[in-house]
Amino acid sequence: MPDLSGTRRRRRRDVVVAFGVLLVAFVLLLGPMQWSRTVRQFLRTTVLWPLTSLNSWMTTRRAERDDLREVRAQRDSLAAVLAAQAVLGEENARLRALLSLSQRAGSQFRPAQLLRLGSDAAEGTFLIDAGAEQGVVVGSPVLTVGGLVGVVREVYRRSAQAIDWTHQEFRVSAMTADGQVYGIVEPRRGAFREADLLVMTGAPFHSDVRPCSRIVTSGRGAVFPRGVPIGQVQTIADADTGWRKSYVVRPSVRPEEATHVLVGLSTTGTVDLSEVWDISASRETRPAGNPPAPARSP
Amino acid sequence: MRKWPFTTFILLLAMLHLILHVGLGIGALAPDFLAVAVLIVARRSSATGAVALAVLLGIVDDAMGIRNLGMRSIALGSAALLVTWSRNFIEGEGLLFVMAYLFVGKWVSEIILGLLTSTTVLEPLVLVTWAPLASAWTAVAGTIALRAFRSVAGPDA
Repeated sequence: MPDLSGTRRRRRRDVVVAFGVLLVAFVLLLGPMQWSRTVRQFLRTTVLWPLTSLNSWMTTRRAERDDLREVRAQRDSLAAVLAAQAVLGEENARLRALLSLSQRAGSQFRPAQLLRLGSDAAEGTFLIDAGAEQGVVVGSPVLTVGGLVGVVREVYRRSAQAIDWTHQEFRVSAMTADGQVYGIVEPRRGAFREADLLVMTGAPFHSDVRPCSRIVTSGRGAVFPRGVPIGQVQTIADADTGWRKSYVVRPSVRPEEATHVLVGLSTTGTVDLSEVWDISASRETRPAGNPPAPARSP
Repeated sequence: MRKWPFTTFILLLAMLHLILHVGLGIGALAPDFLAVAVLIVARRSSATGAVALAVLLGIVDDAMGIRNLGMRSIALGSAALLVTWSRNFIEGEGLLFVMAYLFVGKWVSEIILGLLTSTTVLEPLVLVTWAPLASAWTAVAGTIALRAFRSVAGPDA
């Protein structure tokens, strides 16, 4: 049966080569991050560039279409105008608030548009239309009027990719607004994405943080500016006997609702934004080694 | 069997996936046409061809994230290998067979991806709740796409 054995041999060789090809993917997965970064950057600037441009164009058009709807609504009827003005007013209020926040936060921040990608790999991440040319660096915080959205992880020439607080790798040093309790805030997955919450871990066991207490960034580690709202305490998550407590935190910003953000430039980790959000934590509670650089007042 | 209509169809599926997911940012609501493309190729070509396509498309898809490339490639490639192996004892061409085949193939790739990325206890729950729904949606969309292709290119394509 020479033919059959030949077919079998061919099949076996085919499977071996297939495993070899699969091995390439394993090497890429387990290899240094730099390899993936290089390939990713190449793909984004070539094959995927038209698609990200399309996404950006769609986002802009969507905003313009909304404006056109406003005009049509005004022409059609007063009722439609009123209804539309509510939406426009909300949009206006958000942009005005962002503008005002931008002025109060100072020149260390710049506004940017947020683009959300639909790929599974991009879950918990987003693109912003500001990059190295605008002064964005890896670790730049991303904020909205409501508070902290995420942090920049990769920077390109005119864009950057950031993770939002739902991403598994997101961590931020936090404290209660009165500066009494410190901990690390990290995401906690819900049964579905909209149910995702945050957890402040590592709080001292003797701490007693009441529900609805505001949690803000502490500025420790000089990554995030001090005094940016993260959320409000909902309940106790768990308590290790005699050691530490964790608190469930309801986030102050839902990433899926953010369209325009403020992104920190270069050394925003030492900035104190407590006054921007009227955070009452006194300067005395600032941990040693992180001298505050006050933000520009309005 | 003519090759170019089939190759064009596979390329169109990949492009459609990227346009829906990256270009329009639709996300999980859009079917996973990359999985459909790989699974269809796995039924018709060699294991090497199917796995190579899976690795290539997986890398392109992973390029939109920030983690190391390769996870999606491994998930799709492993599913493709299983499918080419299953050809030895499972055969069929009917509508229900294609739908079930795409459903199982996509679910298997989701399970492999879940095993690779799982860091929380909730992930297994997702694999038996959300993943089957996404697989069913992908199977329906993939079957429609395949039917449309056959009606345009002919049954021998």
